[in-house]
Amino acid sequence: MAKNKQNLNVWYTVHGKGDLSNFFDAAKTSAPKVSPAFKARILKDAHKTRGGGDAIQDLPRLDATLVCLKELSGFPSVVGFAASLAVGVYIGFYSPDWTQPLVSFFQINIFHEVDFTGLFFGMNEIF
Amino acid sequence: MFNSWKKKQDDNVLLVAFAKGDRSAAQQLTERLMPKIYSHAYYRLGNIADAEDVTQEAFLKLWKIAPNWKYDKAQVSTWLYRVVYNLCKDRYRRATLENLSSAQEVTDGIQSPTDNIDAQYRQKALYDAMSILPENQRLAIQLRHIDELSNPEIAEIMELSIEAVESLTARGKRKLIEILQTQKSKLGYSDG
Repeated sequence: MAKNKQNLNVWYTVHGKGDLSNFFDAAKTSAPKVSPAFKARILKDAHKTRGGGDAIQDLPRLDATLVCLKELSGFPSVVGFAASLAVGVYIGFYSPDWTQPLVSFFQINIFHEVDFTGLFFGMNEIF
Repeated sequence: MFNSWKKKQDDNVLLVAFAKGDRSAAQQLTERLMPKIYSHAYYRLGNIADAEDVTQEAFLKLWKIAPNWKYDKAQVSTWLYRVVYNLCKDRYRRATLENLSSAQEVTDGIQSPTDNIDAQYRQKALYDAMSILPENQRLAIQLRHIDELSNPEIAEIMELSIEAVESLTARGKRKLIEILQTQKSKLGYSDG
């Protein structure tokens, strides 16, 4: 009996703490983190209960951003959206002359025809 | 002691403010209470999805009861623990603590890999041992030693006397030590 008690003491005090503290400390540190999306759901319920309102605006800015990002199907779609927005703003402010780029685009379609009947097998450019 | 009392009064004040339409009160209450309630539900149910469901349901009940909240009658945190206790009881008669060991990837907070492994072994051993305990002893130990509530609070949640809670936790701890003693070789501790 005394030996058993001694074994227990050695085991439970091996990290310098008595009792079951080491085990309880391990359990406490393993608590899962609350996700911003879950927090937003709780706040959404709160505001629905009190007659509407947008829960996202009550979240801290970073959490709100993450929730919005998730709502927009993630980072790639947001980058695509931002890129198209930037192009739109550029076109809106600078109204670039598109004639040159269009002409250069169609020049790619120049058809080179080799004239085998000519004296020097010269090349005629036909558009 | 005073700080703890003041904090609980603050929770009550915030709930009343929420009932009166203060939007930021809901946010503050959520930030203060949800992590503890959520981890309590997680420890009882053993998986994140169920823990989120139960926590959300408990908070929904809190938001609904807010306009009729009796300011001095109950403490918000104790009331929430009580709701979670009942919801968990309804959901599963026996918590599936075995699932906790397979849900380690979502947890963090321990300094070094060695510490981490030690802590994981200890945590798993503790939950395995706790799953063998009778429901009341397990809950009393969880509330006292993991959620760090006081005996009067636990007595209120479990609707028992303070003496009964003390007895439950003492018996539970004795039994835990007995169970863990049989597993010490598995955990890498030598005899003697």
